[in-house]
Amino acid sequence: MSMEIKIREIKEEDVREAANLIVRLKKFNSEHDPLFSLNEKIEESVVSYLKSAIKLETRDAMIAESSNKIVGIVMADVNDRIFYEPLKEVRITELYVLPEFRKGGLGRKLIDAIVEKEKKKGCSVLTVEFPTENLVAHKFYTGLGMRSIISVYGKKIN
Amino acid sequence: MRNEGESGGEIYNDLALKNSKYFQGKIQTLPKVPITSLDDFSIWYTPGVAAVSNKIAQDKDLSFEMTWRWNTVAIITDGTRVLGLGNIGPEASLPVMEGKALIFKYLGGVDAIPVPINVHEKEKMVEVARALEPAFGGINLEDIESPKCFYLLETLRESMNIPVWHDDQLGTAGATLAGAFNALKITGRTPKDSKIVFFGSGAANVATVKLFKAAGFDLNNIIMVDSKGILHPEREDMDNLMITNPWKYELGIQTNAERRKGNIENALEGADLLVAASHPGPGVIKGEWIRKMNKRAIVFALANPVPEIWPSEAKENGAEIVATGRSDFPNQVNNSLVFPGVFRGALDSRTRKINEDMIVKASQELANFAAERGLNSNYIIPTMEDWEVFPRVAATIADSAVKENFARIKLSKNEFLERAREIISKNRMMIEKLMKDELIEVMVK
Repeated sequence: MSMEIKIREIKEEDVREAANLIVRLKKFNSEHDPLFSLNEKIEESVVSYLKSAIKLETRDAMIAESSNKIVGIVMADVNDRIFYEPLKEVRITELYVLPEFRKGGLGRKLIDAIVEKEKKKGCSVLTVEFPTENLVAHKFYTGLGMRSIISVYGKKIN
Repeated sequence: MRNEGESGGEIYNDLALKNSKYFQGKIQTLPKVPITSLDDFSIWYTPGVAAVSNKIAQDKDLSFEMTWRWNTVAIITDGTRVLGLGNIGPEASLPVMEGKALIFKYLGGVDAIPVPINVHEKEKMVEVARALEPAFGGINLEDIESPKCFYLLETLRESMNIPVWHDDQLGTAGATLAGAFNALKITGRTPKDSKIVFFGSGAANVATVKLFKAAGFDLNNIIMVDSKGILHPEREDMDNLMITNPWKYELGIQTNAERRKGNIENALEGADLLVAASHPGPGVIKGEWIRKMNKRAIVFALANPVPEIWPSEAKENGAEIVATGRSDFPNQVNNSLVFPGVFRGALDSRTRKINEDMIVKASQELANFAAERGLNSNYIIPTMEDWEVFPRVAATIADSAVKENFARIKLSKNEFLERAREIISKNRMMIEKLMKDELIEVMVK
C-alpha cells in the first residue's frame, strides 16, 4: 500500500472505530487458547478500555491512519518496577494492523511511536504481552530484538 | 431442471465394482527386456547388474539412463481429500491412484506408481517424498487436503531435484486456464480486462488464481468467494487465515481491488467469467445469479460428479459458454488433458522443476490446439479424443524447461515432439496388442 499513513495519539472520536481493531485482535487471541474466549460484553469493555487510555497518565493508545481510516493501533501501559532497575517499563498490551496494511513495517512504526512517547515518562525498558501460541507475534517481537523474560501459565479451576 | 444426459453418473458404479473385483486392480509391472533363457538373468540381475550399479554409484545421474527412473513418477497421497469423498484414508485411495497411473501410461506413456502413505503430518510427508527421490523421475502429489497440499507443493518444489506436481492444484489450474483463454477469445474479451469470480477456495481455485496471475490476468479484477462469502482483507477470519492458510490469506489481500463484500450473488454482479470449484450440485449455483453476470457470460461449473449448475440451466439464464468437469457434456475442463503431457515433457527433458510460467505455456498450447480445429461455444478446449494434444503439451513443457534452464536433456522442440509421440504411441500399441491377444481380457458387463 503506497497510501500515506499517519501515526498519532487516539482521540475521543476515534474510539468507536479503533474498538473494531482491538475486538479483531481479541478474536484472534481467542483462537489460541480457550482461556481467551471472548465474553458477551467484549465491545463495551474495549470501548471503556480505549477511553481509559485517553484519561490515564499510565496508559496510552496510538493509531495509524490512512485516508481517514484507522488501519492500525498500539496500546501500552507504563509500569513501575518496584524491585528492579530500570525503574519504569513500557508494556505493549495491544498491537493490531489491518491485513492489507501489514508487511510494510507499520507494526514496528507504531511500537517506535509509543516507545518515544513513554521514554519521556521515564521508561527505559520495553516489554510486551501476547498469547504464548501466537507464533506470528513471537516472530515479530524476537525480530525486534526482544526475548522471553517472564512466563504466565494458566488453567481453569473449579 | 434436469435434461436428458444430466445424470449423476451412477451407471458406472456397478461396472467399476464388478471389474475391479474381476481384474483385481488396474496396473502391473511388465518386463521390457528380452528373457530368452534363465541365463539372461545373469545380465539383468546378478552378477552382471553389479557393473551397472557400480557405474551409477560413481555418477548418480546415470540412474536416469541405465534404469527405468527416467520414465517413473510416484503418485503420493495420504488419502485425505480423495475425489469428492473426503478423508477416506490411504487404502481407499488406492483404486483412484491406480486409475491415475493407468491414465499416465495410456495418455503419456509414463510409468506411474501409486504410493498411498499412512503419514499425515506435513513435515513427515515432506520427509517421505524426499526419501523417495532416488527411485523416481518425478513426484505427483494427489488428493491431499488443503492447506497442507500448498505447503507440500511449495516445500518439495524448492527442495527436490526432480519435478513435483500436485494435480489437484496445477492440473486443474492448467486445464481451466486453457479453457478460459478460448472462452474469453470467443466472447471478445482479454485476460487483463476480464472480471472473474472464483467460487470455492480450495486447492484447485487457489492454484488457478495464482496461475491466472502468472498468465497476465489482473488480480484486481478477480473476486474469490467461499462458504463464508466474498474474500476481502477485513473479513472476520482473515487473521486466522494468516496462520492456517497463508496462501488464501495473501489472495484475500491481492484480489478484489474494489473491496466488494457479501455473498456469491453479490460477487457475480457484472462478472464476465465464473470459475466454480466448490461442491457437487446441482443447485449450488442458482440460475438467477447467472443472470446478474455480464452479457455473453462464461460459466465453468467444475464440481464432480455433478456440476454446481446443470449446463442447460446456466444457458437458459444467459450463459453463452458453459464448461464442466464431465466428459458427457461439451467443454470438459479435465486435468487428464494436462498431466500426462506435462510429465511426458518433464521426464523427456529431465527437468528439475515445472514452474507456473511453464504451465501457462502448456495451457496456451492446449488453447491453440483447440483453436486450430475451430472454436465454438461447445469446443473451447480439446477433448481426450484429440490424441495429438499430449505430445504437443509434452513438447511445450520440455522446450520451456530448456529455456528456463531446468532441463538436463536439451533437444529442440521438434525433437521433443517426435520423442513424445513415439513413446506415447509405443505404449498404446503395447496395450492394444495385449488386448488383441486377450492377455488383457474384455471387461465384465
